[in-house]
Amino acid sequence: MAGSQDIFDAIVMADERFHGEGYREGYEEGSSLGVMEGRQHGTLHGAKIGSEIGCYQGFAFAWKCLLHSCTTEKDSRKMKVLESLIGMIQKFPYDDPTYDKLHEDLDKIRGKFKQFCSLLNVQPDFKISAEGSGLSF
Amino acid sequence: MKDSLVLLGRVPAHPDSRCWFLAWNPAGTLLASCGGDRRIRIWGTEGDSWICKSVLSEGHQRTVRKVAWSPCGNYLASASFDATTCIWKKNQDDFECVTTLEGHENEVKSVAWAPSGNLLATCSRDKSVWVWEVDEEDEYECVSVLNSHTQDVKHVVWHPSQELLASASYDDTVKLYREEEDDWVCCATLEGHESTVWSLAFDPSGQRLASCSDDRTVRIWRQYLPGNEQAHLHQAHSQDVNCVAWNPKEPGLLASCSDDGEVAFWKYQRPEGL
Repeated sequence: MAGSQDIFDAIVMADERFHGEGYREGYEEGSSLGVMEGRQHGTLHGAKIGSEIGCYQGFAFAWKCLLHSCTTEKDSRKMKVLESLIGMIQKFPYDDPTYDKLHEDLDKIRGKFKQFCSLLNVQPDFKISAEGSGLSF
Repeated sequence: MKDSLVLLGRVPAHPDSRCWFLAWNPAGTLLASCGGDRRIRIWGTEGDSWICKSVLSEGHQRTVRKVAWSPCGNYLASASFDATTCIWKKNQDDFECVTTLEGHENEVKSVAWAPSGNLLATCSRDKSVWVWEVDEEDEYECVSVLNSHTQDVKHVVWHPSQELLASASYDDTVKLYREEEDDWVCCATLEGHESTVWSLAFDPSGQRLASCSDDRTVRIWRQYLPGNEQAHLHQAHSQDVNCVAWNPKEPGLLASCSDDGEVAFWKYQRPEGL
């Protein structure tokens, strides 16, 4: 009696069984495709942010050298803002995309950069494009 | 004797365009108007009539959205859709543009002088609020670029006695800023409005902040250390509330105006002991 139950089970449950197998296979394939897509997205996004901050850092270091010899009172504010900008860039957590204040800190860096440009009276035109980033004055 | 409102005069101020804003100078002798024709006009009385005493042109390339007199009355700041803010210096009847503040990426929506006269704030559609410092030589320097809002910032206003700045935005919030350790930071966010906050006003004592919004309400905020608490909320109008203003002399008297074309007057009463 138990034997014939098994045979019928195999036929009756076939649909459900194949559905389950198909689902599992699909889920695994979807997961790995998703991981690849996510990785690409992350790479692109991360590259944009990294590129932007890298640009600010290069800009800041260059100006640090240029302003090195200046000691007037007006320049002391520029230097303070510059040091603050460099500090923020160095403290930024580049290896933790789950940092909860990531965008807040990024906005603070952007604000500091804009303030610094305003003090220098320089209007940078920062562009990030697929061909690579550029900074024109 | 019944209350009455009598028309004293009417002048064509900004031909073929919109007149956006008006500001009386602190002495009450001049009225500045600005508009879509990119000009600012200064009005004063001559006998019984109001005449245009000067026209400030060549300052902006696009609509002038707001003008603000410095507390001393010698300077006028103008905020424009051309992304700049001009500072004009009064020289008897003439005004000269002494500097143009650049930096915003697009339309500057509002400008405000701090009561001390040393600080100026501007805000823009680029979502940022900029704080500027001016020294005795009329030199302006950017002290901070604040990127706290997530949308267009519509209005900025200073506290009447403290160095505290408030901003209203399309992101439905009001943010407050103060200087902490040599840098300006956002020290509070007032949430509650369900739509764009168009305007803000501190009452003359500085203890209450009124905000008005696209959500048709006027909200009164009270400082409640450590946080902030909404003291009162009222369904003010049937359409967007554009502006709210406290009477400078009578405490608790508040006026609001709306897209529904009405001006409403309110009496705000403080609860006992607060």
